[in-house]
Amino acid sequence: MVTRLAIVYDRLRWEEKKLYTSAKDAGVEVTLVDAKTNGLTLFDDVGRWKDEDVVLQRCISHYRGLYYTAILESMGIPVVNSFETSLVSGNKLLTTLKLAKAGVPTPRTYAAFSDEAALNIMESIGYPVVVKPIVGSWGRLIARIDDRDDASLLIEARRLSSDPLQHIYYLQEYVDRPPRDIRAIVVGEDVVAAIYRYQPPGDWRTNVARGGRVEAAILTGEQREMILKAAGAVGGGVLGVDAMEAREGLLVHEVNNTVEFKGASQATGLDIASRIVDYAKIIGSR
Amino acid sequence: MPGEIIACPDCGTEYEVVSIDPEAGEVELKPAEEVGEDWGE
Repeated sequence: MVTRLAIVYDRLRWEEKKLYTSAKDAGVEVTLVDAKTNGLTLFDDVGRWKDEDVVLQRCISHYRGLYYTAILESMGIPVVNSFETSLVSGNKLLTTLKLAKAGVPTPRTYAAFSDEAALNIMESIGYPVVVKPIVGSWGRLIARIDDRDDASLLIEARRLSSDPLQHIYYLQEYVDRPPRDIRAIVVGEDVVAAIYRYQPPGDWRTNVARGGRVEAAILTGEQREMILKAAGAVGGGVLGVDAMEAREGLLVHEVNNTVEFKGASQATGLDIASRIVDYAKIIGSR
Repeated sequence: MPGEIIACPDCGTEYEVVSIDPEAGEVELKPAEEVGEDWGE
């Protein structure tokens, strides 16, 4: 039976084009749907979506993708990733809660809900402290706070923000690690690729979007097990799990929902897009 | 490909491809969305 797959996007990146061509090569009936220009009814009118067996949700905007997924799932259409996985993995605070509950080692993290409380926590755990927005990625708006002056500056900047999420502080211990981290791509029950991401000169962050260099990584069995446990903790699906090699062992610090895999594909030579399409076919056939 | 983002080589402004007419050799563009705070992987 031919699978009918829709790829929902809002910005066509290398990854979405690769998924599209891989699906076509696999004999899948695939369509690209721009979420920006294709609204949905919230009532019981499946419309064009009745023809789809499965949807790959690839929106770059977390909230757009999240609510698009909610509506499609309410129509009974399987979406990769699911609403639950998208909700959790698109939010660092919820992700940390799930990782901790599942027993996945993760950096010690604190939440504060006022400027004063944030400063008090930073002073009590000691500098440096890493402050991250709870939604967003590519290393944007992530700050390493080295002292009270840095903390005051950050708090002042956040006070001016009209984004309510900027007033929830997600504070993490700074982990002493090599100048790299691990990005593992999980598809269903498999770690299909893993890379080391090296921090670029003059930056402590390792995000490829910030110019970090990548190379193929070979994980130990224990590391793979931990990566899969992290992916399962947030609900499973197609995910990018980021981990640091701390002195005490692997620490998972992020799980990404609409994972970018251009760097991993090029560094490893693996056909990650085809693995994702194969997984979508399985989900669509259930 | 419609949906792709291209950047102006002079000023870096990003545009989204709306449609391509190979016969006429024309590409319709519109300004790309500005980066949102919730954008990412």
